[in-house]
Amino acid sequence: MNSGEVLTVDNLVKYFPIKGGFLRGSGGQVRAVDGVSFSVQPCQVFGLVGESGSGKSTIGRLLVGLYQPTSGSITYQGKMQMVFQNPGSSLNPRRTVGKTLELPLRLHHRGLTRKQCRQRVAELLAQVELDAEYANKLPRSLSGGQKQRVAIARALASDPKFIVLDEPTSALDVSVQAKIIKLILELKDQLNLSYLLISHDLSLMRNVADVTAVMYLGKIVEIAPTAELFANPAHPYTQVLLASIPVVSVEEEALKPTKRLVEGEIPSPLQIPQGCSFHTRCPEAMELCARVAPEDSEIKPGHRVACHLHGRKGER
Amino acid sequence: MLTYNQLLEIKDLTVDFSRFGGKARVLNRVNLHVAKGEKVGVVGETGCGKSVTMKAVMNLLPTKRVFVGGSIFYKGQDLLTLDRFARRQITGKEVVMIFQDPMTSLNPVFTIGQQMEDILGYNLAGAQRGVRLSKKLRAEARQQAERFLAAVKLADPERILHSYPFQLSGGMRQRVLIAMALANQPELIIADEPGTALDVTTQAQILDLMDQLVRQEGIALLMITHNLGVVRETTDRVYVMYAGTVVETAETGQLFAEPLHPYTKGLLDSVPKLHGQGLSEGIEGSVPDYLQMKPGCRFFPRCPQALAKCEYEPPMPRSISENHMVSCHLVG
Repeated sequence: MNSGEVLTVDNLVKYFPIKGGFLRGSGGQVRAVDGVSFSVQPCQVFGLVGESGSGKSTIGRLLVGLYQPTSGSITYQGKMQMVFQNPGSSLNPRRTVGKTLELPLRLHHRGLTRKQCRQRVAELLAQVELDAEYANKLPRSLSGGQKQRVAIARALASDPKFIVLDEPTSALDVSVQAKIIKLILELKDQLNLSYLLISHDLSLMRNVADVTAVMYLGKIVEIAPTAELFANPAHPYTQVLLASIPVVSVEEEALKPTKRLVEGEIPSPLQIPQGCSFHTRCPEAMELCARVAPEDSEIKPGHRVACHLHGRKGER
Repeated sequence: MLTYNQLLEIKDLTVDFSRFGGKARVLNRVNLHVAKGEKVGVVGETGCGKSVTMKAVMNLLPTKRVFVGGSIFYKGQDLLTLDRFARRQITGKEVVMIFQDPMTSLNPVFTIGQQMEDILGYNLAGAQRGVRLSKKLRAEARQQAERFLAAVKLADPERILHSYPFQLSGGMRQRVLIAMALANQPELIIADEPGTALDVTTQAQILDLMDQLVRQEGIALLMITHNLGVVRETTDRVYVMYAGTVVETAETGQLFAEPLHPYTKGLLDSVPKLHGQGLSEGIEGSVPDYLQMKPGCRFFPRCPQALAKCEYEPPMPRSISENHMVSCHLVG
């Protein structure tokens, strides 16, 4: 691990064995994350996009230790925290905002007096732009945006270096989303944080992430600095994803690759296709793709693609 | 009203919910129309009243403590004056609704085939309830069901008919719902956030399919969504709603190129753009409390350009050009 990186993930694998249901005993397993490697620099926003079932949330949960990896390694500096998608269910409805914020304070900073604790809660609320009086409120009297602010404050309580943001704004309206994202970015600069941002909203990713990785069925199929990825998408899946985004202006329309629809939907992670996992839906699939899984190749500095169309010449 | 070429015309629709704290005016004089074969979008954020409007049309609002005023004309006939039996001949038959979540709107304990036969059989039996279908009619219903499933491009309709909803993927379930909507040969489809529960690539497929079907069959489409991009790419005309009022309406291209109402502008501005030139500030504040609505413009507390009179005087809709109406004191 380079001393500069805050997080390095090496060949991370997570399989979920099937324990219940009528498939139990079949020995089958869900290959949620299947050999993922990446690293995050200090103060960087690392974006992870993909459709449901691509394994992006599993990675977030592996990072903060909610799941144990099947194999592979995760190395990081400092503390790590997580903000979940739905603030309505990630906050305890019977606990006041103050109590919610005090709990991680007491865990991580033992020996705080009651007064210091209360003061720190007020500071945390101020950091997420809420008045100190919110400490006495229950989540039900807060709006969606305010709840998400509390969830962010709770993540900040333990002074983390790294925060996993799992779809932090997808439960919110657009006019509120803009505010929350702005807050998240300001906090990053103030507190020297790094983020892993998980989202299915590509337009959001374009504006927020420094580096974006596209996931498909447990693998990263393409990774590049965000501007480069959106300007020169190399993997057919990335191209299809970009072409599918509904946009709100003619200028943006021009930035999308030509419209292509793919057949069908993302296959079940129970039965990942042989060879390249995208070959069943790929508009440019070749005979080779069904047999051999493509290796990562670097087509430009920092821009890596796992696709036979971009493999090194000799191996094609 | 015989001079009609509008399929659906909502006039001064007002809905009040009576609650503990008093009366909440959830819809305030909503005007909206859809012509034959037209694709119309209604956009707005959570709680703006877009779903309530559609539920009022479909007669799905609760009957207790809800007061509906104004009129909803369908082919020149006011639906609100009809009794529920007469209304059922129209809503659910000529006007059908596709709901947002395909998992909860399909019955989990019946196969797709059984559920489709219910609808088709009801029609084949002359729209009478509780009639046992003869074998012949049932076979015919099944055949029709297969045809409709094929029409929504589901491969292997035979297998789908024998499947339970949980055995299908989200995209397939959404297609089944569209097939069921088509089964009644409707003239107007009301779609509530179609494809929002799906991934972008699947959503693109579903929107593409809906677009093709309504064009082929000449069905009118009324789509409600919070996704501005979806509206821009699929509709001819748009209504923007805020806190129970229509604040702006225009042809889709016009509205996105030249939004006039401060709310429309703020909303469009809030959407992250693909060119990545940073994010906007969003809109200050949040949707007002319906129980304590002020007399003036409902957007006044959040409006960055509010005038003194906006606080007391509600703006009337003004016509800017043909099909472009704005309710704002700043305009006109």
